[in-house]
Amino acid sequence: MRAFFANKLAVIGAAITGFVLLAVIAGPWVLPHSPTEADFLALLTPPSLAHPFGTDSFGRDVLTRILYGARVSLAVSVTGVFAAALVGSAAGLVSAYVGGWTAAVAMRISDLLFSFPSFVLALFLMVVLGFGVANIAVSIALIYLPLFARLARNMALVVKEEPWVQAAQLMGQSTFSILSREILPNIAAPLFVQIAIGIAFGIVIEAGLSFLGLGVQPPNPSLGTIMADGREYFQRAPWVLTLSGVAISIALLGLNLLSDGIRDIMDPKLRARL
Amino acid sequence: MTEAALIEVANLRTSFAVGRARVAAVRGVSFSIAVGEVFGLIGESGSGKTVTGLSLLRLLPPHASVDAEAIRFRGQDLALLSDDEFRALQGVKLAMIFQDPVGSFNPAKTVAWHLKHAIARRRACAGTGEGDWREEAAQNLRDVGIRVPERVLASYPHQLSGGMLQRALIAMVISLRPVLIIADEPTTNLDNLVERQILDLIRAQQRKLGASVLYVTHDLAVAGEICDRIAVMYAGEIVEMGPARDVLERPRHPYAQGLLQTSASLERRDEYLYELQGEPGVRGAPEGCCFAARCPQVMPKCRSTQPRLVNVGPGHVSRCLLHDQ
Amino acid sequence: MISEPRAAAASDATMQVRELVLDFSAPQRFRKVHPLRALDSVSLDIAQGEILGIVGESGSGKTTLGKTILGAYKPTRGRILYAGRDLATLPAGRWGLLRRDLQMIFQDPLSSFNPRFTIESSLALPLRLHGICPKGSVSGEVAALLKRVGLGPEHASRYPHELSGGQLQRVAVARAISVKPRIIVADEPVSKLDVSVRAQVLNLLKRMNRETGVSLVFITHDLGVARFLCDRIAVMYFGRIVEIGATAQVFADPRHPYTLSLLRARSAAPDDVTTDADEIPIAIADSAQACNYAPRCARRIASCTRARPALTIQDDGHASACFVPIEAGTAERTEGIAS
Repeated sequence: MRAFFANKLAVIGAAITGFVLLAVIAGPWVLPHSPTEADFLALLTPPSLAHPFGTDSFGRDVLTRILYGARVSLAVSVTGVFAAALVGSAAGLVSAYVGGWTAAVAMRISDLLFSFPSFVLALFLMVVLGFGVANIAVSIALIYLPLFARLARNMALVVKEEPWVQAAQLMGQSTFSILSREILPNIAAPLFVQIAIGIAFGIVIEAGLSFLGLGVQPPNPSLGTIMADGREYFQRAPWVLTLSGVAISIALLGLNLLSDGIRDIMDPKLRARL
Repeated sequence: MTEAALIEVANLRTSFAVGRARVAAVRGVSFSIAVGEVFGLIGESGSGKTVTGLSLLRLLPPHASVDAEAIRFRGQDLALLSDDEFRALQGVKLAMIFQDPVGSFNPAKTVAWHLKHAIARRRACAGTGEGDWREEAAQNLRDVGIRVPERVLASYPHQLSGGMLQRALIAMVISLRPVLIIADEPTTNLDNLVERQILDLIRAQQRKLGASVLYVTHDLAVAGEICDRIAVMYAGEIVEMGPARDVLERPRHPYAQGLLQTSASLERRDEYLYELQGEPGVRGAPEGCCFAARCPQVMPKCRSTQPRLVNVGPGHVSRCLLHDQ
Repeated sequence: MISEPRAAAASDATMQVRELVLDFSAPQRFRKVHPLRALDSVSLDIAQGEILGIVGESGSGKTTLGKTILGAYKPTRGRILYAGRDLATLPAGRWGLLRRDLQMIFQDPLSSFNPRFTIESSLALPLRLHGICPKGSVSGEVAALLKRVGLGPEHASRYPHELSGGQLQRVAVARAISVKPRIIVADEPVSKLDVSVRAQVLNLLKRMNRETGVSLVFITHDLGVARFLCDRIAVMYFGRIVEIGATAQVFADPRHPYTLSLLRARSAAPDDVTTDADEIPIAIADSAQACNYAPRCARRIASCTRARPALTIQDDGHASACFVPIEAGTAERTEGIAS
């Protein structure tokens, strides 16, 4: 723990992420405006006290829309990535330990999914599954599943050769117990790092899909749809696109620094133990 | 310290930066090695024996700090040499045999490549030597007991067994014609039979070259075979030092005595072995004797008074309050 | 045909290993790969309460033998008879209670414990798994186990990396005996420990054997330690047992040239010490029908390259596999070998 606080970037990352989370969860309750109600008297007004981020072409408060949109992005991204982590890691663990035909087949399918560039795969999945927010979560889950599977499998392959795993086998521990107690805790750290990175990318994917109109449908806000709108009237009201872009960047920055920090504390601790 | 001393170390102190603290690995070690002498440094984990050897050759990582009143090689203070000047000595006059031979070889190059470079280095420094390096390399390998040098020369490190690799490493070191060889537990990872042969080899080559050897080991028996003089280290200090026979047959420090009693009880086939209590490497009271926590003959004043090295025989010293009455 | 020290059927030995063969082969789809024969027709008995030493250098197969009899590897051929079953062919799911009877102590104490769990946790697991004591008294039992191996209750809440090698190895002994096994295989348990700590663990093992009557299979390359601890010794060379017998006899009267070589390794007269560097390439038509020590044996005769010497008994329990065994009483005394 002390090591984490010593790493300045990690602390900054945690702080930013924490702030973003707080804003996203608590913000919409605090702010007076509605994200969807139009106010035709205040179209495209620049940032002011009443509207810190200005208003968009429907007179809606941009800040409120960003916060609501971020809720959706985060919810979708977190759901998708956690699903990928749970299913993927489990698959990777089992395939590393049990091996055999099914493992080989599962890995090949995983490789197949993995070989597509993520956004192209996302587009394809959206077409197949149909548009909508829930399906974005499913797409994100499918995109990241192979990553977790391979990561978990590679690490488990190494850990399963460790003497303490052999000791557990000789003691007669069940396969489930060995996987969950002897192997999993010792491969968890990089998986958590990957989750943090995955959430960041998930946000980008959701934003991208919504930007193209395949995700969240108007008038519901999404970081992507806000940016799409903002792009249309960029000349007249640059603040919409700019500020929503900045908002995404800050969230991503926070998540990335946090994940770097987690990775850093895991590493030197291992080295110090030697 | 006489003029015949090849290397003299006075009050060597080495410590490592760990987080915000400094951990002392070597706390004031002084010894000298004469020309052609085999000097043994015996100790367990935490004794500082390996760090001592590495300190002499400036092979420690950047977070280590090495300090000494003097480290003299042939009368010249090594601390005054710049890095470049030291590097000229390092590896040629001062050579090292590491514990794990695998790490001393480039896995992507053959043994021949390694020997060629060692020979070339020596020739460049000494400015002598003609003739095909291959013949010299083959002869070096024959000198270390390899019957078919051509095959070994053409091999890559991973194709050779641990014993063969260690021989090749010794051949490499010999081809440098060093004046001082620091051998850090060179036989620890080897099987007993191979160890026997390698020990004989080191001794034979050392005599032939007239080189001095600083032999670092935890194995009393091995030290007894090969060393002329021995220093026993514990928790960063030398606790006993003297001629090998004297230290091994009539040790005066309780730690050395304890080690000897354990092997004696093994020899005698006692029902249960003589045991030294506690763990090595843990320093007892900071102000007192480093061995106080484990000493079977500990006295109250041992925890508060630092013992100094005291004469207990001709050329034989021991760091214990028992002798310092 | 191997002549066993006692008739197999009537043997009162706890475990009987017969003609055990283990080949390692890396599976290759298109190339025929020569398998590595780690165990080559190994036979021996383990009596209840005895300490049997398996001595050999690296590559001799001693560790593999130890792990195979515990079921870690599936033998290619041969039988491991224990409690009326053949462990060599017993499917993994049918071992059940047998797992309690056979325990292991590993060479490196630090990596034999899950680094994420405390000592208490690691010791409690087998107790709970095998129902050794009622749930409420697990904690007390752990404390008692620690005390038995010479550690205090303060060690229970520590993590493996906070203990020294010697202390951890004692915990390993505690873990092994906690399930009241009948056979413990100890794989070089003191080679990674500091010299001044080895005696502590060796004494502990001997005490456990004397107090509980558990059989100990002690794998080592250190003959001095083997002599201190073991009742009987089996010497292995490249997957085969070349000599086996009561410790005192093997040391006083080595029959096989390799055994003599090992005994001489620490003495001042190393003339009989040969290693792979001394091997002379000789023509061997079929290595299965030859003595595998022949290439470096000074006593080699013609038969040695044409037939495989069987493990034959010369006198009570002392057997060796050699066509030209060293005559009883003629071996130069090997007293005073340093440990």
